[in-house]
Amino acid sequence: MIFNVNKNKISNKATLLISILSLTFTLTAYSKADEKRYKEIIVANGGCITGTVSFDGDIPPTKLLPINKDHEFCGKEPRPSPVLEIHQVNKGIKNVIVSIEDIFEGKHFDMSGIRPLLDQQRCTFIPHVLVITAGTTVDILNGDNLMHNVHSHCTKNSPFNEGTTYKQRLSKRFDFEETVKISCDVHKWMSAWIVVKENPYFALTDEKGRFTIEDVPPGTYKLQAWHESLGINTKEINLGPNEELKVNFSCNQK
Amino acid sequence: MKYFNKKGCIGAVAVAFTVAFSLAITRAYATEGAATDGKEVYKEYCAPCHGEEGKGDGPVAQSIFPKPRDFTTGAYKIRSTPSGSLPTDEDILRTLYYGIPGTSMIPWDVLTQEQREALVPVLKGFSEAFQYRKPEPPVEIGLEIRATAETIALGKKIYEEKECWKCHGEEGKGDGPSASELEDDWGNPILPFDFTKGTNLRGGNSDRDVYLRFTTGMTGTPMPSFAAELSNEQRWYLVHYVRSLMKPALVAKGAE
Repeated sequence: MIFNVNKNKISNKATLLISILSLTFTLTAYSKADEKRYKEIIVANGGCITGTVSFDGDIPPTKLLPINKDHEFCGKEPRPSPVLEIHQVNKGIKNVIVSIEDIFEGKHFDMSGIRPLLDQQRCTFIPHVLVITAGTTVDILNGDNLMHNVHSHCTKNSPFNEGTTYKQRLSKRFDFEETVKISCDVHKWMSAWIVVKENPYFALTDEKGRFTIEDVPPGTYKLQAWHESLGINTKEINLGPNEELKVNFSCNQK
Repeated sequence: MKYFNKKGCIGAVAVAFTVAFSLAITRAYATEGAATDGKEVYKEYCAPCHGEEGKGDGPVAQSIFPKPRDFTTGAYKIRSTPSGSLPTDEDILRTLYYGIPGTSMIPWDVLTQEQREALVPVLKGFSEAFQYRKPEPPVEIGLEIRATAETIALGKKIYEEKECWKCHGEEGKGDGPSASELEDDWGNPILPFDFTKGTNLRGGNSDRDVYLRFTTGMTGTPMPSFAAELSNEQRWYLVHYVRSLMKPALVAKGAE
């Protein structure tokens, strides 16, 4: 009996301790979600980072995606995959996101008035990659006269999956930094990415793999190049005042 | 002799008392221990399928279809909340209590209510999603519309227009053109529901349950939400049409 009482006391204490711990955990967790890590300042003597992301090695043949249904709206011909687009002349890679990951102070940005579009035309998402800052609302449209499922794959942001008809507009807000894949369950070949960033220092490469990031405060940073199939490459860079720094990335299939 | 008997009797009673008493204590311990520690309950009853860390990779998982849910993404299939939202605690408790028919998730009514309640924070603890978001309020279920031949016919039109048939098939047999290539969020093959086979609807069989499924969608699966697409009336029409696929008798009656 004495043992029993003691054990009860211990378990009571343990429960109390656990509840205090979990309470603290919950509180810190919520503040973690609410906390803004990036601070806007006036950037004096800002530099510029520019360069090219190019493919290392022989250009692989373009993958063709078979269109296996809804031919009257989606077309019949297999279409080139948007996953890996390499420029035939300079081997530049399109749709790479080059970003500074460890910058917590910098230029002012406000995208609240801007609503980027993610359109669906002839059963393809346009654009294939969209980069936004946290807190931005994206308008997702359906320009096809049939049903599409807009299915997002994420954890921090809401993993929605909604059926949409012709001319339907879905407005979705992305609050947290995350790489979100968008797919359509009806049309397997369709895919897109909405990449949410915490700071405005990012650029999406063009068809020649070129990028420019401007108004960067002088300093040492980690520059990252992300591609959906080639993965992540990082470089440490040192940017001086008013400097135009050339940084080139060379990526290969791993 | 008499005296001995009496003594023996007292002894027996005493022994019985001791046994009963110690049993009572052990019992009290058992329920108390289980009820207060959700982690222990999880380890014993849930981990074999859902895995020790909630990744859906327990030792039994391999031989199960559909696969046990991976809790780390916070994607819950059966909810009362809108598409993309986390489930409410009541949603999780509902699934624990009723199970998910047609899958290996049995109704866990063998556990006590306290045990099921103790599981909720354990399940939520597996996903960082609950640190970033809170569940949205449950969706509203509007005034119910009666099933008549007319509302069933209207539902059939919606079934065609919103392309439910693409997965669920023109006759609701789950054999639409997209059916064979469907995958869940983890890349596992998944089948659209065959309405003609009956009443094992994953999220429950009531009209309200059916209404909720195409209003909230089933997170982690290809089943989307049609909340932005259908009015309250239209959702009831679709409920009645889907029901008519399950019960041919109802169609005949409505068509008279």
